[in-house]
Amino acid sequence: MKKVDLSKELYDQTTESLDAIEQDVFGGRVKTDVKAGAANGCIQGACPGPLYGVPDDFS
Amino acid sequence: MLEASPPPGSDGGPAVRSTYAVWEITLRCNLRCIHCGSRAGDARTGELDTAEALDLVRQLAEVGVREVSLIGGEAFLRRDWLDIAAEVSRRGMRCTMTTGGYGLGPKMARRIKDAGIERVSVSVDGLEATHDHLRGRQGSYRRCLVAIRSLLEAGVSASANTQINRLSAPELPRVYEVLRDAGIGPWQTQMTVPMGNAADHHDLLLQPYELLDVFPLLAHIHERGFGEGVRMQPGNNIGYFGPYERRLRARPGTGGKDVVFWSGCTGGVLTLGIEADGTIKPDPSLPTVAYRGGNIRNQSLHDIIFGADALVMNDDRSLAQGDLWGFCSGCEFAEVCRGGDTWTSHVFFDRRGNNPYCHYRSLYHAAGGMRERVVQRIGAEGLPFDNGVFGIERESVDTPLAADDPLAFGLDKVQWPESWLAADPELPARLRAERDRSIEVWRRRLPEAPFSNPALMEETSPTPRHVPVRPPADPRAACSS
Repeated sequence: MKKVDLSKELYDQTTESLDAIEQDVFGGRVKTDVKAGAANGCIQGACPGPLYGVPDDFS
Repeated sequence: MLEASPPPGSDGGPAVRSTYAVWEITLRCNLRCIHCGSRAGDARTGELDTAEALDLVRQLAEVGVREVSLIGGEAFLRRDWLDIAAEVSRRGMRCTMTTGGYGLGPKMARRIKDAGIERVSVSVDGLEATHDHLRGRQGSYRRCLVAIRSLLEAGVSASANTQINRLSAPELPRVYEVLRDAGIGPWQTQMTVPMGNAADHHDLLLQPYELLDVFPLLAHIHERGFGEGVRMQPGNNIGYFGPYERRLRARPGTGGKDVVFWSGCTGGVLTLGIEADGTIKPDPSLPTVAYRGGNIRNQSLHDIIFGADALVMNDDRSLAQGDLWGFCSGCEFAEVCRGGDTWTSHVFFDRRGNNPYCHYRSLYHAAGGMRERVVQRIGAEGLPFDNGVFGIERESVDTPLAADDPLAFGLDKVQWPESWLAADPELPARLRAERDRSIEVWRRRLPEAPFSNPALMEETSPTPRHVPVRPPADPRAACSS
C-alpha cells in the first residue's frame, strides 16, 4: 500500500487539538472501547467500504 | 490495513497504489434514483465487452488491487456479471458488490455466493415512502429488504448504505432499527451531494448549517450501534474535525489506536474508479470530465494509475494543499484535512479544495452568529457524473428562513422510535444541548470568528458556463414509475 503521507508531528498535533475539543464539549476524551475482535468490535473486512483516511503508516 | 506487494514486473519502485477498485460494470439500471450521480438507466455507449472486462480483471490483479467492488447502474443487469465476479475471485482479489436490490432474491443470492462474492451492500435510503420516492420506483423498499434477507440466508455478508439528505435525515433512527432488525452489521452513510440527478433535485440537499443538527444525531446512532451490532461507518464526505470526528470514525485495527480522524482524500492513492466504458478515475464518484485519467482501451491500467495526472493528484500532500481555497485554505486543520472529500467540494464549486459540508465550518459560522447556505448558480448539463456550480450565501442566524420550506431539517424533525424515548425521554433535549454546547465551545476557541481571517470568507466565483440554472424538481412529487 502506498504510504499515507501524514507525519508523526501532524498526527500528534491533530490528536492534541481533538483532545482539547472533546474535553471542552464532552468533559473528557471519548473512549469508544472499540477493539478488533472484541464482542462489540468490528469484523475486519466486513465493513461496507475501505478504511479511508486511517493513518497507519507515517512517512 | 491492507499491505500489498509491488506489482509483478515492477522494479521495487513505488509501492502499490490503489488497493480498492470500484467498478461500474454497466450503467444500465432498473431503478431511476432522483439522486443518482451517474444518472443510471440505459447502458453506456461502448461498454467493455466480456473479453475486455476479463482482461481488465487480470490487470487489476497485476497492479496489486486487493478488492474489487462491482457496481452499476445495477451490476447484475449485465449478462456476464457473474463471470466477471468469478474471475475477480479466481485472481485472488476480494469481490464485493453494491446493489439497489430490486430483483435480488434467493436464487440470485445463491449464485452470488457461488461466484465467490464475499459481501454485498444494499442501498436503503429511508423508510418505505422516502426510499421508493428517492429510488424512483414503487416497491423498491420492500425489494431491497428481500435482497438483504436473501443474501443473509445464502450465507453472503450483507451490509447497507444510506444517503443522508433532507428527506432521509429525519428517518435515520427508524432506518437504523429496520437495518438492525434485518441483521445488518456494517452500515455506510454518506451525504447526498449535487452530482448528476441530485444536481437537478438540489432541494434534497442538506444546507451546511443543518449539519449542526445532523452530527449529534449521527453520533448518537453510531454509538447506539456499538451495543447492538450495527457498525455505522461514515462515508468520506461526513466530517470534519468537529467534536464527533473521532467518535464517528472509531475503527479497530489501527495499531493500538482506537480512535482515528480524517486525513485527506485518498482518491488514486488507495482507491480507483472504473466506468463501464473503461474510463479510469481516482475514485468512482468523481466527475468524469475533470478526473478522467485515461481509458483502458488506449493504455494499460498500470500506465494510467502511475502516470495520469488525475490519478496522482493526492500523491503529494503539499500539492493537494496547494489546491485549497476559500474557507478550507485558512482552516486550522487544513494540513491534515486537505479540504475533506474531493467529490463533495468539486460538485458544489466545480473545483476541489473548498468544502461546504464540514461540521467544523458550520460550527465556526454559528459561533459568529452566521450561517452558510448553498445556492445553485449554474445547472448541470445532464450527463453521467456531471455537476453544476453552487455559490455560498452567508447570513446572520437571525435572518428568517423560508417559512414554506417543508424539507428544512433540524433535530425537531427527527422521527424517534418510541422505544428510544421511553428509555431516554431526555434524548432529543440532550442532543440539542450537545449541539448548543459545541457552538459555545467554538465561540470560546475562536473568539474572533468568523471574520478574523479574510481567506476563510472568500466567496466562490464560479466559472461562467452556458448551462442555465434549473429550478429544482419537486422532491415530493410522485414517483415517475
